[in-house]
Parts: sequence; structure tokens; C-alpha cells
Amino acid sequence: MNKLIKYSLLGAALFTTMVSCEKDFLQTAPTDQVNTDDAFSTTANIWAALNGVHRTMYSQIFGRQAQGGQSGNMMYMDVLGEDVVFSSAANSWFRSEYRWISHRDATSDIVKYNYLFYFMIIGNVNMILANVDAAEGPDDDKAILKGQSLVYRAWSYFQMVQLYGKRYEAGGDNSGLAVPLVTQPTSEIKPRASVEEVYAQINADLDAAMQYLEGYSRANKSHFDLNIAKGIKARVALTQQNWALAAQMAHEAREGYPLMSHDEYLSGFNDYGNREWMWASHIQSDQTNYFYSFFAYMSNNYNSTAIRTNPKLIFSVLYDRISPTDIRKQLWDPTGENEAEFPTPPNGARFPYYSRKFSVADPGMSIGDVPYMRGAEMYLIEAEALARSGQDGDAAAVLYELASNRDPEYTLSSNTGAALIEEIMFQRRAELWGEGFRFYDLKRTNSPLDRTGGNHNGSYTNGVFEVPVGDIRWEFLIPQDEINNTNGVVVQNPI
Amino acid sequence: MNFTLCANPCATHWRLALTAFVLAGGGLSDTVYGSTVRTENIILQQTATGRVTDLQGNPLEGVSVKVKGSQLSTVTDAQGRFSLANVPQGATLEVSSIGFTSIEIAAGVNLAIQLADQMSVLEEVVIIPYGTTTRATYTGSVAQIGSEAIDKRPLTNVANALVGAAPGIQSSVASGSPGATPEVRIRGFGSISAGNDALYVVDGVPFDGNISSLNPDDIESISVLKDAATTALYGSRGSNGVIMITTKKGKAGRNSLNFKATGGIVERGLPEYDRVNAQQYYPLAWEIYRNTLHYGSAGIPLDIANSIASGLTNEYDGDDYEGIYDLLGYNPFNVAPDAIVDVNGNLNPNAALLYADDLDWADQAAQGGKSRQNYQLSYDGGNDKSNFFGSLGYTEEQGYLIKSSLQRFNARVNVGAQPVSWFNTGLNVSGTYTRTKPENTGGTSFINPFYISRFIAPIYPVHLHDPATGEYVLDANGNRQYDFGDGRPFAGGRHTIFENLNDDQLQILGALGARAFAEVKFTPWLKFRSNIAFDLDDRHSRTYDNPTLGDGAPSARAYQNFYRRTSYTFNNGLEYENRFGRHHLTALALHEVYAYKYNNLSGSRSGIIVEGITELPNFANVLGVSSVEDNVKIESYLARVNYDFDQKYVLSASIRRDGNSRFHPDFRWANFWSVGGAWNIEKENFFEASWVDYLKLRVSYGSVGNDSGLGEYPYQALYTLGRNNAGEPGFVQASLPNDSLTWETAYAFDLGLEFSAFKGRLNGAVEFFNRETGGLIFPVPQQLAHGGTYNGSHHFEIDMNIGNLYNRGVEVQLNGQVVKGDNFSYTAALNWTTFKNRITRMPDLQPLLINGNKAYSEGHSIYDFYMREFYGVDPETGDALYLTDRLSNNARIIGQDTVTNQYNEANLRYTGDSSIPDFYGSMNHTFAYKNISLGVQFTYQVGGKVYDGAYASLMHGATYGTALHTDILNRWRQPGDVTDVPRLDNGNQTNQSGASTRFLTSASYFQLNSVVLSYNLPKSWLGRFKADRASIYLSGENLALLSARSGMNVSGSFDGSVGNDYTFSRIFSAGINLSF
Repeated sequence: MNKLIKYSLLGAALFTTMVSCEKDFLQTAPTDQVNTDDAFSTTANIWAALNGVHRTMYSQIFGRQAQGGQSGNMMYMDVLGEDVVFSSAANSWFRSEYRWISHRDATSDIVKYNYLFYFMIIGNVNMILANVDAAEGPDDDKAILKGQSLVYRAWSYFQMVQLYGKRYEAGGDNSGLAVPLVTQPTSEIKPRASVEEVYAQINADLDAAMQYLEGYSRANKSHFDLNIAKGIKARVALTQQNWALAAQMAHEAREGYPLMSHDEYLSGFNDYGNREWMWASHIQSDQTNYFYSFFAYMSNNYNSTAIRTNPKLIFSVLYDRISPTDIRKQLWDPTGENEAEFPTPPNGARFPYYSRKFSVADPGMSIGDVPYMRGAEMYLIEAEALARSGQDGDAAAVLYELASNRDPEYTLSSNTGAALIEEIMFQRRAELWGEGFRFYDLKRTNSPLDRTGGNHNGSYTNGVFEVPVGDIRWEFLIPQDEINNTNGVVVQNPI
Repeated sequence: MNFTLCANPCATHWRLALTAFVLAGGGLSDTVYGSTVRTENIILQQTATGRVTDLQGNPLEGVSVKVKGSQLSTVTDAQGRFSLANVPQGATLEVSSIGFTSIEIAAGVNLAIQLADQMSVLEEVVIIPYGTTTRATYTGSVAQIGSEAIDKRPLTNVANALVGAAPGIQSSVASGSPGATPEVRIRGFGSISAGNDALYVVDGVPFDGNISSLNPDDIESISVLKDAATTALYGSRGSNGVIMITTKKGKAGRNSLNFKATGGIVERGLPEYDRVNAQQYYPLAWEIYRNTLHYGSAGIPLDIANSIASGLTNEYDGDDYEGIYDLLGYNPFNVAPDAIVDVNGNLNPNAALLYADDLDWADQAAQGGKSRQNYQLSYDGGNDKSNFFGSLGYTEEQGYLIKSSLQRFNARVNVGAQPVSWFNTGLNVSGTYTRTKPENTGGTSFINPFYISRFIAPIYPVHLHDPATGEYVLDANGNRQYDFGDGRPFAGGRHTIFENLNDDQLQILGALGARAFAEVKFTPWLKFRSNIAFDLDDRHSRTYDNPTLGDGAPSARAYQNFYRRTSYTFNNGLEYENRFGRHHLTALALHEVYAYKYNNLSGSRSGIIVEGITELPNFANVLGVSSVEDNVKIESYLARVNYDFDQKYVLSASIRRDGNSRFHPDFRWANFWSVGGAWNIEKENFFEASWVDYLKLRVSYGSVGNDSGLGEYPYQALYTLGRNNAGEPGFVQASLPNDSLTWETAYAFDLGLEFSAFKGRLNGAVEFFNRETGGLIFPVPQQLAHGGTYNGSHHFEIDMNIGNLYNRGVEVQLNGQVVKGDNFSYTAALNWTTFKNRITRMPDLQPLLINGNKAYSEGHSIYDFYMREFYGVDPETGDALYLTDRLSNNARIIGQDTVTNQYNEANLRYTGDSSIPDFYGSMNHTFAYKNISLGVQFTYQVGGKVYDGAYASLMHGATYGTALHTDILNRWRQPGDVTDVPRLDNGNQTNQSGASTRFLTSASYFQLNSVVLSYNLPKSWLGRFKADRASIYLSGENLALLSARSGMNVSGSFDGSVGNDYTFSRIFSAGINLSF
């Protein structure tokens, strides 16, 4: 045995034993995620942060099938109303919402989704607002990023304040609790702000956003431009009973969005290319939304269990009131036997008042675009605001523009006062059926829920036919997680 | 000269090696020494022969027989026989074997030598990190499981051998899925949000692969390390205990070939819950509906509600109503739909079932292959320069559930060589190829057969029937058709059996493991050793969802996912061992790097083009394509010193410094250390109790870390890529930062007394442990208003090191040879553990964190239930009543209690219950009579509670068409009824049956885990097969479970939850072992 070999081996061994690795050996980073610092380094990257929020609008939320981004809120709002009717006892999705049970259960999905979904959007846009000024990039981009972020924040708070707070009363007491106001990234626990405070923030954000978005021409309808900011402002003003502002904003917002043709009206409400659509997401096949698609619950032809066994119908009382010459009348089949024009999925059940308003273009895919704002709504806001502020003639004229497009036989309304308002509200129900407005409309107009006299079945509604105004059930409960996580700083609504 | 190579540096073998080295004179004086011996033996030589058996008379193979003071040695063959030529006259033979007491005996012929087995724990070799030691000089706490506890049981997954193996090891019973791994916890629960899983170490190196890819028949031993003195050497990964698995290797001086074949049957081990039948169900559903109409928002008078429910009235107050038949959608009886249940709620006495044989979904879902077979071929051998072990194995297990199967091919080669006396090397390579058909079990998916078959009401047939006659409706080929049940209110339009049969899932797993070492001995007391280990683990998953029914409808879809995990560990160390008189000192210094890499590639498409082809190009639309790579790295320095004085006084100390990529550079490095001591009292002169063979007091204390379960980048604030808005790139907020996040650190104290008495007939240990974990990581939930993510935990959580807890307990192990006769013996092993888990510090801002039906706060365990407390049922209204802490319009005071019928008003509170048992343990009984032996293993736990969520879901009427537990027959029915089952109501689920203490159930159980009956065939029968040894055996696994409620999977988890899981299998097996 050669000592030289042994000693050189020993030297090598000592060296290997004691040597350490290169300094960055222990530095690792994910490959499917990006560090927050990098995410906000340039305006180009911040555009990606904003587009991530746009994507959230049609992403599955919390893994729940009924919550496909914003369309989840839309369906909850209509299911709580009277114009969407359950056809059978089958398929449990939305059933307990239909019965007015879930939104009064602090641990339910609907309660948590409607809170956290919007706060998730607010959290993301607050990060953009907090970091955009320090990023590299053109000032024009920064203005647009801020403007869109502020619209998101305003709209998200507007969606929530109507659910978790009491209805806004112009000139009344709006000091009741709404939701916490978080306007920048923080870890500080915030209590619920008042309804008044939340509306003040919404209006401040929208006003600022309109400044930033002046002159911005957007790439597609998933983005906010000045028209959309104004459209949301119109909704807010209408809810705050600020009629003049609502009418003005709605009028300005619809500029450039002409009403669709009758052919387009019957084409399935699934394409954001429609000229009347103002704001919508576009869903492509590699971003498919599977069974959490809006169309898996509200269409006539996608092969989901909900559509096959429990398709959603129109309230017969509403249907019966629609004029036979109105194109909208053709969206529903009062007989439940019209197989030619109302295709169902294979083995799909068929019921009277079956709807074909929404249908997928390719029955093999659940995807379809969902409208968040259409020109017609702006006509309706303008008409309603004018009517409620006593300008009956102007109101009837605006209504005529919309109604005569839908029904060639429609004649200028001679109604005035409450009758005119009632007519506008009927037009609103017929026009916006299934588009997520009904619970909000009932609450903001202080109207009772009335499902009587039509095709609602007491066995499916659990006997919930009427809910009077002022009932505590008009307020959603705050999610129990929020109360737990804030150690009670956030308090619950009355039970 | 005989010594064995092992994949670990082995302390005991160092001694042998040293002796050999000295005797060999550094390899140069061999001939001189040899010639001297030969000269002496020319006159005096003789041949020594004999047979070595254990105390039961079983031949012992591989026993070392060595001439004392000489290098002459041999080992026994498979029959225990040895023959040693050229033995000097009057020489003494040293007979020794691992696990047996060594003896010395005068050389002679036809010696009958009996070795006492491992009851003499003193000499037992203990496998520890980076080496081995003996029981006597070990200062820590270890439980060892030998291959004999594994090889006759039908275990597809080796981790099942840990169930009930020793005190301090708490385990769940693995699911029935073939190859499933049981959960194992060592000495309590040390973490809340980081992992509680023990570290698996295979052949000396942390193992990142799937334990189910190891072949149980390749396992030589499993050591479970429980205390810090030992696990501190695994530093940041050691705090939850370490399970060291050592594979077999060849033994010098023998050559053998072993063949083993087993076959068995598999069946469901746990019965389903007791549920009502169809005749009971329909009137109950009627009552649910009637109550809803009468007591619910509709407020319909009772007589009208009765009539509506029966289907005899369909309008009230201008609104339409349906009868119960319309709500359930099915009439399984031969009477008219409005004549099933009368207005008094009674089933029509003429009603008979139309398809009584087709209502049991659980039975029809349990039509899997139900079989198990296993074949093993292994051979090993060696001489003084090299040794080898090779094995080939095939295992096929088909579960009781439809399309549930595993096929596994294993191969291993373990070779060692010592070409020159100063150089030692070895390579251990294994490969595994597994094909499994995974199951869609767990949770509340419509394709989970356990969920659907448990909860579907007993009125819905599996197949299509003519509603009038009840006859099966056959298709064009005359086959029965499944009833997709569009009209079912529960799981309508879905069919778990059809979908599981027509969807396809396949997982192909490949695992490759390699361990290599090289060792250079510079001097008799210093050597350098280099270890490299590499594990590769691939999984290719394919899923196809059929276009007819289910998630794949209407156009079918296919997914493929490929992942690869690779990890390597490379370490280099210097080892020192020397003796100075009666002083014995060993030391180790080592540098190690570890790197882990995970890659995943997945793609999915929908819209099948040609039927029968499930490759992705055969689908029209791309649904998604994704990939990811993750990396974790650890760099470490470690050192250890062991000292003993004549094996009487033992001291040990270790230190390890770890740097870990999971943490921020400023908080990345930490030191972990341990000290330990042992005192072998029986060696003291003053100790005179001659009936005590062994008495050792030991103590250890040390710090260990825990970085498991944290993800790869837990400190970083991240945005998730790929959240594109149609064609525009997008990302969203994913996590918030915490740069100061670091390991949880546990300080573990261990005090043990080990003893053996009456020549080993009674031995055992009593141990006290106290593991205090600091810097406990809490995922502190943030206010929801601060945002969140739409998957994962939804609202943000920030992992913070704030909080302490301890696990403190006592373990007792007793082994006794109760009866020891010539032909009959009975051995019993009992173990018992009790421990207390307590949180001692919480975050200042979050003194109470609620997590599901538990909460964390100081003074409570991590598994204390925190929920609403059920008070009882109001005899007047049938309302469920709950305790509350405030008086409201809905609340009232009864005696000392404030109760409410509004679930949301009832406050959450600690209920005084925990899922942690008062004590748990196991019993092993072994009976031997001549060539027959019978081994029986029981496990038990006493105390603790389970929240039986499955039972809760069977105890309400909130969903029409779901099954009901027979306990519901005790429900409240009318004013005055005194019961603990509230009024059934479809519209009032939250109030009437929300989660509360009502569904907490005793978690005590007693389980018969394993029975093995084996018979060693007499020698006289073996000649014709030319076999050395043969045994046949019968065994059974999971034979019985006694618990508070039939159907409750009480031994499936630690946190007291019950899911809709693939419940465990009962396996009966028969096998044969042949050795040549």
C-alpha cells in the first residue's frame, strides 16, 4: 500500500468533506409564479396584473361549480328573484338559494363567494394602485392602469354594499354597516364601514377613474373605458336615487353601442362581438369553464345535468305580459313542446316556459361569453331615472327607442307617473332576464319578492313565495370566516 | 475472515474490520501469520461441526462461527449446520448472529448449539443515522421491526408493518386502495401547519419517492427513531421522527435461493352504516316533506300538508304543490304514486318492491377483482471479498372496488466489494414499475362510489327498470342498462358505477433508486466515506372521461400528466473509531448536499374524434397545457461524537448545521444539536440482582427542525402566471411575503429505562418524552377583506413562526415469553402510549384560530373540538336546541343553560372533546407448537372523539333522495316526544342538523389487524424438492373492528374526521416459502 496514495486520498477527503457549495446553491425560485417585485417593475408587467383581474371575471371561484367568476353572482341574483323559475326537484345547484336559505347562513358558499370574490379583485387592484407610480413605463399606461383599477374597486364595492348592507336611501339614514373599506394593501384589521362611507368611496373612485380613462381606446370589451365607467356610475346613481346623474351617465355611456337586430337577439347571447354589448369577457377553448360555465345552468342546449334535469324557466306572469309581436317573446316556449326551435341536450327534460335566451355555439363545449353590461340596460336606466324624477315625456321617449326595437308594434307609451315607472320596470325584467339584476332591483326599489300566481312550485321554493320589504332576509350574512379571522372586529348582521 | 458490507457505515462492522485489519498486518504479513497457524495445526487440527438453532429449535442460517483468537470462521447454512476444518485442539468457538446472544463453546463435533434470540437486546444492532450502534451503547429511543414481521403478511405497502409495531407510533389504517400508505405519527403531533409526517430514510438517505414503490420483501429492517439524540442528525427534517428502512444484502459464506408465492382474496373490511330500507324510507321522506310544508315558511295546516305530501292535494292558497312521489321522482313499489304513503304517513300495506335486488349500490360498486397475488424470487451470497443480493418480485392486487388495481414489478441488486483491505465499496440499485388504476374516492364528487352508494336513498335502482312491472329494460344486445336517473333529486343525471366503468384512469409509475458508497481506510482508526444516492420517481397519468355521462359529456375529454421527481444526496465524511483500554470513542464529521427537483407537464383536450382512441390528438379542442418545475436544496455540515466506558457509561453528542432554500437568505441557516447519555446499571459491581440481564437508564435532549409541508417558496410574495385574459397575458396575486419565516424547532427530551430479566424471558422499556416545539408555523388567516386567491385556501394566510406546543407522554413496552416448553411456547408483546398535546403560545393578535370544527388556543391541544354544542330537542316543537352565550329573541333559559333554536346564534365553543385518545397501543401474541406458529396482532385506542360527518349527513332530511341512518327512526314526531333526534325538515337543515356536538362519537376502538398461521414443513418432506426449508402459511389482515358505530372509519385519521373514503380491505392470504 503506497503511503502517497493514502495521503493524497486523505487530503482529497478532507477537502471534499469541508468544502461548501457555491453561494447561490440554496437560492431557488418558482417557475410558474413570479415574484411580486418583478410583477410590478414595469407597466408592461402591470398590464399582466390587470389582465389577471379580467381573467378572474370568468375563473372558477373556490372550486365551486356554481361560481364561474362574475356569472356566479349573476345567477345567484336571479335565482333569488321571481323571474327565474325552477322546473323540477332534480339537481341541487342553487336550490337552497332559490329557497332563500343559503344567503342567511354565515358558512354558506354564496355568502363567502359574494364577499371574497369582490375583495379578491379589490386586493389585486389595490396592489396595482399602490405600485404603478413607481414602475417603469409611459405615464399614459399608468393612467389607464389606475383608471381601470379604480373602476374595478368601485364596481366591486358597489356589488357588495348592496348585498351586505341595507338599501341606500337618498336623504335617509345610511349609517348602517356595509363592508370594510380597504383602499391599499395592508394587514391591518378593518371593521365594517357604513353604507354611506362605502358609496362615498365608490363615487370617489369612479370620478377619479373617469379622469384617467378620458380618451382611452380599449383593446377589447373585457377592459374598462370611459363608457363603462359611466355605465357603472349610472348604476350607482340609480341605486342612490340620484336620478339626474343616473340619466345623464346612462345616456353618455351608451353612445356607440346601438341596439342589436332581431336576428342577433335570437342568436344565443354568447358572443361579445355583439354591437350592443358594452362589457364582457371573452372565453376561449383553452380557458374553458367546464361545468362552472354560466351556460351549464342557464342555456337550453349544453349537456349538463342542470340543463337536462332542471332547466331554468321564465316566470309565467312575466312571460304572459310580453307582447306577442315582441322579439323577446320568442326566447321562451310556453308550451314546452316546441322541439324544433328549442333544442335540449340528449334526454333533456322539457318544460313549459323553457328558455333559449342563452345557448352555446358548440354543444360540445360549455364556453360562451357572458354580458356584464349592454346598451339596453343604459336605455332602461335612463328611462327609469327620468320617470322617477317626473320627466315622463322624456322617459317614454327613451323607453320607446328600446321597446320599439324589440317590438316593431310597440307604440310610444302614454303612461305617466307610477304606471310609467311600472312599465319601465316590466321592460327591464323582460330585457335583462337571466343577466343578474333581479335581486339588486328588488332591493334598490324597495319591492317585495312576489312569486305568486305563476309557475313557481311551492315544493321547490320551500313555500317561499313572498318576502316583504324590510325583512332581515334582504341582507346577506357576513361570512363566518371573516368574523373569525378578525376576532370579531367585523360583526355579523342581525340574525 | 467474514465481514459484511452494508450501505451504511456500520459501527459494529468497523470493529470487525479493524480486527481484521490488525490481524492481517496491514495486508502484507498475511502469509507469515498464516504459516504460523498452519505449522501449529499440523499436529493438532480437528474439524468442528454442529448445528445452530434458536430456542424453538428452528435452524439459524448465516450465524458466524469463529475460532476464538484466530481468523478461522464460517457461517451456518440454511439448516443451521456448519463445518470448520483445521481447528486447533481445545479451541473455543465464538458463535454469534445479529439479534442473538453470542455464546462461546468448546470446539467439538456434532455440536447442538442454541442461541437465545433478540430478547437479549444488549447485543442488538441498532441502525441510526450515518451508522449503526448496539443497543447497549445507544442513548436514544428506537423501535426496530425485522423482516420476520413483514414477510408472511400480505402487505403491498411496507409502511403497513408500522401499524401497531411499537409504542409511540400512532398510525391510521390504510385505505383499501391497493398499495395505499397508512399515515404514521411519532410521539404526538408536533406541528399545526407544517407537516407531521416522519422522515423516511431508505438505506441511509432521505427518500422522496413513494413508499409504495418499495418491495416489502426486500426489507431487512425498519428502525423508527423517536428521540432528538438520533434524529438531530437529520437536522431540519428530523423533528417528526425518522423511519429508517434498510434493504437486504448478501451474507458471506452462504448461497441461497428463495422463492415465495402467495395468493389471496380481498374484500371490504368495514361494513356500511346501518341505513333504513325502502319501506322505511318512503314514509320518512313523506314526513320530511309534510313537516317542511307545515312547520316551514309555507305554514300549511297539518291536514292539508298531510294530503299534499301524499299526493292527494296539489293546490293550496292559489299555489301549486307536488306530492312526495314527485319530489323523489321514483316509485319502487307496485302501487300508484299517490297511494304509496297515506295521509297518516303509513306505507301502503299492499306495497311490494318492484326491483328489490337492484337497490344496493355499495354492493354493486364493490365488484372489483378482489384478489391479491405476490411472487418473489431472491438469491444472495458472498465471500470475504464480495457479497450480493438480488431479488425480483411481482405483486398484483385488485381491490374490492370496481376497476381498482395495482400491478408492481420490483427488482433490486445490492452488491458489495472489498477488493483490498483498505477499500470498501457497494452499490444498491432498485427499480420498480407500477401500473395502477386509481379510484375516484374521497369527498363528495358524483363519481366517488363511496359517497354515492352511501347516500343514495334505497329507492333508486342501479339499472333501468320498467316502471310498471319492475322488469329490467334490456338493450338491443339483451344486456341490462344503467339508470342514469335524470329524475333523481340526488345525483340526478349521474351514475357513479357507469361512469367509473366507462371512464378510464391509468397511472404508470417508474421508480429508480441507487445508493453507492466508497470507503477508504487510512489507518485502523480513520476512514473516509463518500455516499451518493439518487432517486428518480416518474408518474404518467392518463384520464379519459366518457362522452355519454358525467364530466366528460357531451364530447369526451382526455388528460395526460407526467411528473418526475428526482433527488440526490451526496455526502463525504471522515469517521474515527478507537479504543484506549476500556474507553471507546467514535467520531464523525460530514458535509452533505441535497437537491430535489419536481417537474410536471400536463395537457388536456376535449371533443373526441374517433371512438376508442384516447391519445390527445384524437380530441378537437385544447383545454389546457401546462408545466412547472420546483426545486428544494439543503446544504449541511454535521458532526457526532460517541464515547463509552466499557459499555457501562455512554455519552453522545451531535451537531448539524443546515441551510435550506425554503427560507429567506437571512433566515436560512440554523444549528441543530443533541446530547445523550446512558448507564448500563447491570454492569455495575454493586448491582447484584442476578435475575436481571440488562438494565439501562438513558437520557437525551436535543433540537430538531421541521420544514415539511411548507411548499417550496413559503417566504416569497408571488403572483401566479398563466392567468391570461383571452389572448392577453395575465397573472394574479398568489401569496403574501414573510421573509423571517424559518423552521419550526423542537426541543425533545427523552428519558428511558430498558430492562431484560429472567434470561430474556421478560424485557421491555418505559420511556418518558417531552417534545416542545417552538417557532410553530401558523398560517395566520388574514381578513377576507384583504383579498385572496380563487383556489387554495381562498383568503390569504401568512405563515408565521409564532407559537409553541408540546407533546409529552409515556410509552411502555413489555415483551414476555409467557410459556416456554419443549414443544409449545407463547410470547406476548404489549405496548401502550399516552401523551398530552398542548399549545402553550399563540400569536398575540390571534389568540384563537378556528380551523373547521377545531380551534387553536393556549391550553388546548391542536385537535380540540370547537363547535356548537347541541343541547337537545325541544319536546314541544321538535326543534334542535343549542347552547348560546347570549339571550336573544330566539333564546331562552332552561335551568342553568341558555339555549336557542337558531344555529347561527349558538356560539362556537370548546366542547371539552379532542380527537386525541387517552391512550393507544397494540398487542402481539405468538403461539408456537412444534412446527406450527400463530401470530395475532391487535391495535387499540381508548378515549377521544370523532366528528362523524358521514353519520351527520345520514341524519337529516335536507336533501330529498338521500339515505337515512336507522337512528332517524327515533326522531321527534309530535309535541310531547322526548328524543335526541330533532324534527325532520327539508328547509331547515342548518338549524335542525348543523354541525354540532350531536355528531361527536367515541373514537375508542379495538382492531384485529393481523393473524398469521404458519407451518414449517418437516425436513423429511423436503428432500424430494431438494429444498432446505419450506413453510406454508395463512394470514388475514384487518379482520375485525370494534367501535362505537358500525360503518364509521374511526381508524382512518388522527384529527377525528370521517370521510367518504375507500375504506380498508380485509385480505385473506395463503402462501408458501421455499429455500434452496
